[in-house]
Parts: sequence; structure tokens; C-alpha cells
Amino acid sequence: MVIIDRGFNGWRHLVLPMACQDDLLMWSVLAVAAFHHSGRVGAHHLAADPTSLASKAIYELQRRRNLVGCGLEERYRVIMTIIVLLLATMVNGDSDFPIILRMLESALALVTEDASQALSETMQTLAEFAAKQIRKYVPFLLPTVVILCVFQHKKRANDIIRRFNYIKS
Amino acid sequence: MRVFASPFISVEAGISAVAAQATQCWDNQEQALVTHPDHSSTLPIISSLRQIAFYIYLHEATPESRAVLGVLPGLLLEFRQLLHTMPEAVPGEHALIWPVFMAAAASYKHEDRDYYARFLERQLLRSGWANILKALQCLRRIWSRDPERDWVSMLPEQGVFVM
Repeated sequence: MVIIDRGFNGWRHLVLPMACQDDLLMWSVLAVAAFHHSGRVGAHHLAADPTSLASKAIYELQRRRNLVGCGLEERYRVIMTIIVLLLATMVNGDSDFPIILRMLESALALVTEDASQALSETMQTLAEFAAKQIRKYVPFLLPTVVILCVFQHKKRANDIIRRFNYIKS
Repeated sequence: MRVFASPFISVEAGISAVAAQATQCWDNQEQALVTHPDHSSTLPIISSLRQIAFYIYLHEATPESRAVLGVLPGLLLEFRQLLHTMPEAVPGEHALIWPVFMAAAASYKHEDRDYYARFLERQLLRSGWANILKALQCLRRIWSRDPERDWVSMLPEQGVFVM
């Protein structure tokens, strides 16, 4: 997931250690790994069903969807989880990525509204890493957004751009 | 606020904003060049190919642009020639999946389509990611479409996240 996997790799050095401390992030990471492994060796060789792992992560996300009462660190862990689930749709070719994208939009909205809280150094690093991933993916997701604009869903397209652009700034 | 400060006044304004955003998306290339100086010959090529692919998409996404003859063939030729300069299996090659997909979708010559399909098949073999397989299936649907239909409008229907 990085252009060149050598030296620092945020997925390995940030996300994995954090997943060891957060069940939600762990399920999403395991889901991606299981989908990838399943594609290579076949699902019958796996001890865990990747779809079940992804479903667990999404169920827990839905359970935590009321992020208003959560701290900023929790919100960023949720954002990172959603980004990992977005990766899963690339690994398994899932067509549900628009749903994941909408979840990301909702989570980002809560971050932009409450950005004044201080983050720990570790979470700040994770937040910057998450922002980088979103900036990296947005142009590739934008063709879908552009289509929304072309087909007269301009307000929705603009809302998506505005939220993603806050991350860029 | 950045380039999207203004609402989409028109499709042209939206497309311009997307184009401007696209030029800034490769924001870690400079860092990558510093971190991996031994890839200083290929990273700029990857960046350029991504840029051309954005222009190909943006050109095809607007009817007014599509009506201007001669632009697409030039972009496709530039893309193909530049991709040809990339050695196979270099680190970072996977970053070209989306650009190659866009060039492939816009291509109208069988030779070019086969060339890009082989590239994507190699990436599929290396990564095993199912979205590449779906992308290839999507391309075959695009290439066999009704000539009156533009391929850009088909993308949201395909249900695949290509990157």
C-alpha cells in the first residue's frame, strides 16, 4: 500500500501496533489479511472467514456510529478502521465501497467539527497518516464524485469534496 | 479552503477543480524521492503517468472536451510511450494500476488494449487483489459497449474500486 515498501511503512509501523490495542481496528486488519490470503490460497485453507471478520468490524462500527460522545482519539481510530475497510474492498473486489466511503464522510464530518482537542503524539502521527491516505485515495475516488456532479448531484459532490479537502488543509 | 472553495458552478469549474486537486494528490512523491534516491528515475515517470491518466479521464468526462478532436490520441500516445520506458516489475509499479485502467478504458486500438490488459494481468498475478480482476472484466464491458455510450458514465455502474 505504499509506493515503495522500504524503511518506514505507516501500515506496518503505525496501524498494526494500534490494531493490537483496539479490537475494531484489529478486525478490519485481519479481514484485509484474510481476504488477501484467501485470494491466494483459497478460502478453504483459512482458519477464519474474512467476510465474517469484515462483518464484525462493520457491526462494531455501526455500534459506535454515534461518535458525538466519543473523544477525538476514538474518532480517529474509527476513521483509520474505515480506511482499512476501504482497502479491503480493493483486495476482495467488493462493490460496497460507496457504502464505506459514506461511512468515511460521516466520520470525517465529526473530526472537522471538533479539531481543537489535543491529540497524543502517537495519535497525531496516526491522524496525519490517515489524512495522507485519504488525500491519496480521493483523486481516484473522485471520478465517482465527478459523475455525481455531471448527473446533477452537485451539492452531494461538493459536500464530499469539501470534507475531503479539509483533511488536505 | 483549497481549489474546491467554490461550489461546482458548472461542470467545467468542477472538472478544473478536480484537475487542480489531481496535480496535488501526489504529495508524498518528493518525500519518496528523498527516501528512495535509487528510484529517482522511475518515481517521476509514475507521477507523470498518473497526471496523464487524470487528464485522459477529465477530457473524457466532459462532452465539450470530448468534442475537441485530436486531444485524446495525443494523450494516449504520450501515455503509451512513457509507460513503455518503465522497466517491468520495478518497485512502485502497482501505483500505475489506476492510470493504466484509465488509459485502457479510453483506448480504441486493439494493440493498446492488449498491452494494457497484459500489464494489469501481471499486477493481478503479483498482488492477487480481486479488484484488478474486476477491473479487467470492466474493461471488456467498456470495450464492447455501444459506440454511442461514453465509458466514463459506465464507471459508477461497475462496482469496482480501482487504484
